[in-house]
Amino acid sequence: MASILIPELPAPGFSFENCQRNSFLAQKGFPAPKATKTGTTIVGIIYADGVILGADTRATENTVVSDKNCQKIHYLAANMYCCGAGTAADTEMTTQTVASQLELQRLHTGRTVPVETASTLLKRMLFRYQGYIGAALVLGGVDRTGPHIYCIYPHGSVDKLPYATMGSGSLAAMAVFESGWKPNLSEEEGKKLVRDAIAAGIFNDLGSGSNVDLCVIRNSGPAQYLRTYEEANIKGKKQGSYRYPLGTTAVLKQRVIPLDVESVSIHPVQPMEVETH
Amino acid sequence: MSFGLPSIKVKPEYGSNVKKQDGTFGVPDPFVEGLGSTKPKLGISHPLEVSERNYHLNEEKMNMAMLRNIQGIHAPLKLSMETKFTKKIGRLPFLPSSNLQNDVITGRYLDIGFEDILNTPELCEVAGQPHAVVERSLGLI
Repeated sequence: MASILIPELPAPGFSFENCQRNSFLAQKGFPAPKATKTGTTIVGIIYADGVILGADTRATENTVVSDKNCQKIHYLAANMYCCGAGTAADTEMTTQTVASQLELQRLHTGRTVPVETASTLLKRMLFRYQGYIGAALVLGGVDRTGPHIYCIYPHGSVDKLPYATMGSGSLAAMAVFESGWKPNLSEEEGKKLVRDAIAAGIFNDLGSGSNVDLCVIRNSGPAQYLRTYEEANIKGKKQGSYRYPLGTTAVLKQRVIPLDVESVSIHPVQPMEVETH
Repeated sequence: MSFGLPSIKVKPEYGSNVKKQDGTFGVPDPFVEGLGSTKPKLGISHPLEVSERNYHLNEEKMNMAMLRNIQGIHAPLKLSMETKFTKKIGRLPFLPSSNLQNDVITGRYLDIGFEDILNTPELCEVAGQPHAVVERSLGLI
């Protein structure tokens, strides 16, 4: 029960203070600004020695491209990476939060964390927020039981598959997988298949574009993040200089005002003493 | 076949359960509650607000109900007793507390969530007047 002397201290976590104000403003004709979505193609496959994740690199704000080279494959743990589609901020914060929870888990148990733990943490968090966190993820990783690919939807449901695609370009990419995937692909075949699937999304879907990013996670050895595996869309080069030569526009009057230096003084600055641990 | 055990399902909170603190004349005392208190805060601004406010309580209730169903009454009794001890720390109600023992017993010391990043108690801009807070905790106000 709130009062002036004993105000209700806000609970830590999300604050819903401005929701009423926002709906009132929307009613009056000032809707909230739209969040940056990733309108994406993200894919993941299991091949002979592990998993390969792929993503495009375009971030859109409705019809405008807001980031031509964004990173959609997020780090979760040394043996797991996660591609994110949906609202860019949501995927970023969700994967960072789960990455820290996984690190705490790893320090607590002293073992590499299984991929299933990450999928459980993600789906619990997404279900708790009932789909308001718009993060659709393809989680891929390798643990002691082998390679795994999970696709996690914004409302909290999880699918465990040998190959998965998500995002607006998922249909184009899935078409490539359905005709091309077979069990026990070699690494080169796997990378080519993922590259073809992302290229299908880039060229056939407006929400995906720019470059192809790959991440190869092998059963043994470190994960290999191939940022810009292929630049599918190269911006054209200007053929010549379009500047006008000096004298194209006639000069009528010219006045030069020199700035005189009145005095020069030097003050030496001592850096502040800050305790570093 | 029903065993008469408590339900694990969480019951939703309705807006009609709002209780108002009435003063001497049947309206909230403006000296205590403030001038805006006569207009009650009706409606829920976001569907998640109620769920988030009670999230940890509901999780606790669900776990205790499951323990009661599986292991009998002794399990939730012992655990609830220990949790009550961790909530009754020897500190006055208006002083900040890290709740370390409570975090350890509930397992939240291993967890990082939005509660640790957003709206942390260190950044809170309001504070209660200490005398009033203590009187409220003793039930005098």
